[in-house]
Amino acid sequence: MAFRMTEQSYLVLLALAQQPRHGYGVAQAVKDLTDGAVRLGAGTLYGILDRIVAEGYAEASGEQVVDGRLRRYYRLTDAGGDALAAETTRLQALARRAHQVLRARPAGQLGFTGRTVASAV
Amino acid sequence: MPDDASTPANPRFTRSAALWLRAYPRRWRAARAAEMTEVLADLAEPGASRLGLRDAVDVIRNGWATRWREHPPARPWLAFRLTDRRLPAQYDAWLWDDLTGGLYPFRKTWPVLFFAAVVGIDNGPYPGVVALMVWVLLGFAVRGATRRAALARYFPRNPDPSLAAVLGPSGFRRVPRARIAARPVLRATALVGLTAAGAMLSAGRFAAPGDHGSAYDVLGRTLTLPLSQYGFPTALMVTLSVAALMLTVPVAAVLLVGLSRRAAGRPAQPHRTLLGGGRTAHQVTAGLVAWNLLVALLIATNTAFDFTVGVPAVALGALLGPAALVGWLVVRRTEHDGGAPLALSDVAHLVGRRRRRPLEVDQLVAVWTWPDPYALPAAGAD
Repeated sequence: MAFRMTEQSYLVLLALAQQPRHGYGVAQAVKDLTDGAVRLGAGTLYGILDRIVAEGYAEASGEQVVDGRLRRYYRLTDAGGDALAAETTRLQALARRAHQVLRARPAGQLGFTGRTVASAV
Repeated sequence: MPDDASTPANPRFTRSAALWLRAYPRRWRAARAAEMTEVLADLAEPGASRLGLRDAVDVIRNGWATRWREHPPARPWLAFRLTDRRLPAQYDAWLWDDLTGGLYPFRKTWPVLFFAAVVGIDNGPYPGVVALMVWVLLGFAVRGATRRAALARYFPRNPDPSLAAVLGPSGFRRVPRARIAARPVLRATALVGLTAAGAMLSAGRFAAPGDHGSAYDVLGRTLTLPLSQYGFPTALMVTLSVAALMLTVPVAAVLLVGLSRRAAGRPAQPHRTLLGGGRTAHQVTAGLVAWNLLVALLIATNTAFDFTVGVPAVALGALLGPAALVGWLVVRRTEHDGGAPLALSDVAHLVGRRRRRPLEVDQLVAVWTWPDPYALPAAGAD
C-alpha cells in the first residue's frame, strides 16, 4: 500500500528528526510541536510507526529498560529525512500560495488574517 | 509526566492493556505488545488500573487496521482457505499468524460447517446444531496434526533463500515439553460424564410426551426406538448405562491396579509443563456441567426439544464418567506420595504394554521460531 503523508505522520517524522525517541517520547514531542493540539493515542502512534518503518523512513535504533519499563528507540533514516524535507517544501509552497490568495481578497471578508494562517501551517 | 521517570505499570493495568491489545495480530503482539503497553501506561492517568475508553477505542481501531493492512486480498485468500493454494510470499507473515492461531483447526475444517449450514436449511436447526458440534469436536481433535501438517507444508525448516529473505533469520528455541495433566482431566471427565448420564436419565424420566414419534430414518430403513410413556427411551438408556458401568468400571479397575506401585519411583520432570489444571480448565468443566444440566432441563420441560441428544450423551457419559472417576481416585492416591504429578501420557504408559519399563524423563523440545519483524540492527550500528 502506498504511503500517505498525513499530518500525523509528518509530525511523527518531525519528532524523530530532532533526535531518536521512544514511543512515549514521540507522543510528547508531537504534543509540544503542536502546542498540545495533537495528542497521539498509542494505537495511532504505533500505526504510524509501523507504516514509516515499513516505508524505510525510520528504523529501530536500540532499546533500554528504564525504571523497569521497556523503551525501544526509533530514529529517522536518510529516506525519512528526504521525505520530511520534501513535505516541508510542499507545505511552504502551499502556505505561500495561501498568503497570496488571502492578500488578494478585500480585507476583513473572511474574518482572519494571513498571520493566523501562517501560524497554523 | 516527566520523561523516563515513571514507575512500572501496575499488573491490573497490564492485564487490561493485554486484553485490548488482542485486536492486533499475534506476531505483532509478540514483537511489540510489551513496548506498547508501557506507552499506554505512560499516556494513562497516574495510578490508572485499566485502559480508558478513548485509548481502548484507539487500540481496537488501529489493531484491526493492522490486521486489515496485512491481510491477503480476497481472491488469493479464498483460494488458500478453500483449496490450500499457496499465497504469494509477501503474505508469509500473515500466513504464519493464521497457522499458529488458536482457531486455525476450525478454519481448516470449514467443510463441516458448510455441511451444517446446508443440512440446517433443509431440515431445521437440529441436524445443523449436531453438525456444528461435530465441527467443534473435529477442530479440537485434529488441531495438533492439522497445524503440524500445515506448518511443514508452508514453512519448510530449511527455507530457500528467497523465503528466508522474507521471513528473516529464524531458528530453534528449546522449551519444556507440554503434557496434559492426568488428575484434573480425569476429574473433569468424571464430572462431565456422570452429570451427562445422570441428568439425561432423570430428565428422561420426567419428559413430557412429544409429537415426534419414535421412528427414525437411518440409511433408508426405519428404526423404532422403544419409548416410554414419557416419550423418552428410558428403558433403553438405563440398560445402556448399566451395561456401560459393568463394562468400564471393572476394566478401568483392572488396568489401574498396581499403577500406584509402578509409579512409586517415578523420575522428576524438570523439563515438563503440565496443562489442564488452570482456571480456564475449571471454567470449561463448569461450563460443560452446566450445559448438561441445561439440556436435561430442556428435555424435561420442552416437548419440542428432540430428546435423541440424550442417547449419545447418556451412553458416552456412562462409559467415560465412571472409568474416569476410578482413574482420578487412583491417580490422586498415587500423587499423595509427593512425587512429580502424573501426565495422561504417564498413566497410558503405566497401564499399557510397556508398563514394566520405567517412565522416561521428558527432554526440552525444539520449537521453530520466526523472527521479530522489528529486530534491531546489529550492535554498533548506532
